[in-house]
Amino acid sequence: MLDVRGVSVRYGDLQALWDVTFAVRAGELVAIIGPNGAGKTTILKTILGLVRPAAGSIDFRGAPLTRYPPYDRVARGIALVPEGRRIFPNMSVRDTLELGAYTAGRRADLRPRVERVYDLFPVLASRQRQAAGTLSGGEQQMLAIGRALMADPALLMLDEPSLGLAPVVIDHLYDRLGELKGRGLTILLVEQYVAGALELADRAYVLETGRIVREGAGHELLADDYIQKTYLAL
Amino acid sequence: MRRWAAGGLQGLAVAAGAGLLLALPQVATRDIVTAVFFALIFITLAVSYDILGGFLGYLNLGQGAFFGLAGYVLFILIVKVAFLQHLGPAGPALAVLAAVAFTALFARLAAYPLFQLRGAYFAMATFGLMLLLGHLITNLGGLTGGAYGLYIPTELYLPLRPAYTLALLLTGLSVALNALLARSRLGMGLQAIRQSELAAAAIGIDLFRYKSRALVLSSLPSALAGCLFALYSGYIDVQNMLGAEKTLFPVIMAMLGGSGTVFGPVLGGVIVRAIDVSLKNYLVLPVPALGIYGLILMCIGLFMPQGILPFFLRRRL
Repeated sequence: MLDVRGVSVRYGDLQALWDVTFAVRAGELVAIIGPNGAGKTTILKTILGLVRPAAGSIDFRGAPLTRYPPYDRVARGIALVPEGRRIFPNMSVRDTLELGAYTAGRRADLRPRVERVYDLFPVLASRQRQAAGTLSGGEQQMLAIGRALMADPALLMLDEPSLGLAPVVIDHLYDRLGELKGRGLTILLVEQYVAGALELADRAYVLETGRIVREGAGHELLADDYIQKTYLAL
Repeated sequence: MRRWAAGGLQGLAVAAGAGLLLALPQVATRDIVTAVFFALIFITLAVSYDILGGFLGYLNLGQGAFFGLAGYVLFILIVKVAFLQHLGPAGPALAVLAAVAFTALFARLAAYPLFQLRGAYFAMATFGLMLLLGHLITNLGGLTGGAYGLYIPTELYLPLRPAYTLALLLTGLSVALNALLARSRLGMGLQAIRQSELAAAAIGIDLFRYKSRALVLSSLPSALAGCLFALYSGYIDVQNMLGAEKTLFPVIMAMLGGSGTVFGPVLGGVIVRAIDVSLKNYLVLPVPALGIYGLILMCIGLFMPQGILPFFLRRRL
């Protein structure tokens, strides 16, 4: 579904990505793990079109993406849950969700979509009139995911959904991600929470200082010596 | 129920205010009507400024550029295009339409360079744009009258009474525009951009298109206000059309009353103009009027950083 080939990204003199190549097949959950500053967020921003690659190509559903601006890529079925949630603090939960379906157009019937999000995260239904800024961290993350799902994406990209959340909340979120995966949604997950991400992922890539240094099935990497020593402190 | 009651109360207050203002010329002195006319002009500037400042969260220090540019285009057309002077009232009306259209086009084109910038850089660039316009007008003397300014024939002056009524209508339309915008798809998109550009892009909003639409929409009432002001004055120069107060007062008014709310800029405008008029005409103080403004702004910033209206609305909830 998504084919990233030889992508390099530069921020001025600084090269953030070096010849990054990876793929996400339909129905897969692929994780990209790595330390701070490895370039994980840059990969997602490049896929969404917020950052222009200096070299390389990105294909989505068989067609090259590089020429399209971000809003066209969203309309083509790519959704991003940004790092740090980036909810709209003054907007109600319900309004946020409806705005998430922005690309569906003004006449679309959004109720079934909203209901699907409430089924996944029932707590959002009980908070629907509340301003998003008053939600807890975990609820904000659920809202950010719900907002992305409202666009009915073919590919859901998540940027460190576990950031700043309590372990029990992370467990709950990952259960929901597993549920989405079970429904056949294609997911690209960027994480520093390596154990959880590898457990859930079909396949994973390890990104360090802008280069992919390892790849494999989630459970393989989980058992890998290097990963265990560097990321899991085992 | 309470929400309905509050909405009804607000509607009643607006209707009562509009009725009072409409009746004002029948009962008040010429001085007071003139003062309210100027207040309405400034309130329109503040309300239209707030489309960018409040909804989109971009500090536009060049709102006065739309005001001044429209006034100049209007006068240049009236002075240089001879047949417009022989059409009666239709002449100036046509010229106003052309001036507003030109200003909107200017706003659309200015969007390209301006929205490459954010935050303080955007604010500086908008201010610079207005200064640039002032310099251009000063130096293109053949067209603009340069430092001497431009006059229109006295029979084309807009008398106070119709000018006042038109200003009242314009202010009402400007407020209505913001109220509609607050509920529209465009308005929701602008508020999303204000709260997070990244998230707004991630849900598929075309950031540039939305920002430039906001800029063009905000230019329209300001341009009309510039035309009204110019037609009433009968004389324009860089100082009265593009002076710094045309661009700074709207910002102060919106912030004071409550940026991002529909009636905040109106309230702020009333307060600032009331202070201004009383300081200049009625109270004689040993300190300059600007010192008083500064003091008020500091107090608002310290105690009501969201502005007066949000402060009291939150209190009630």
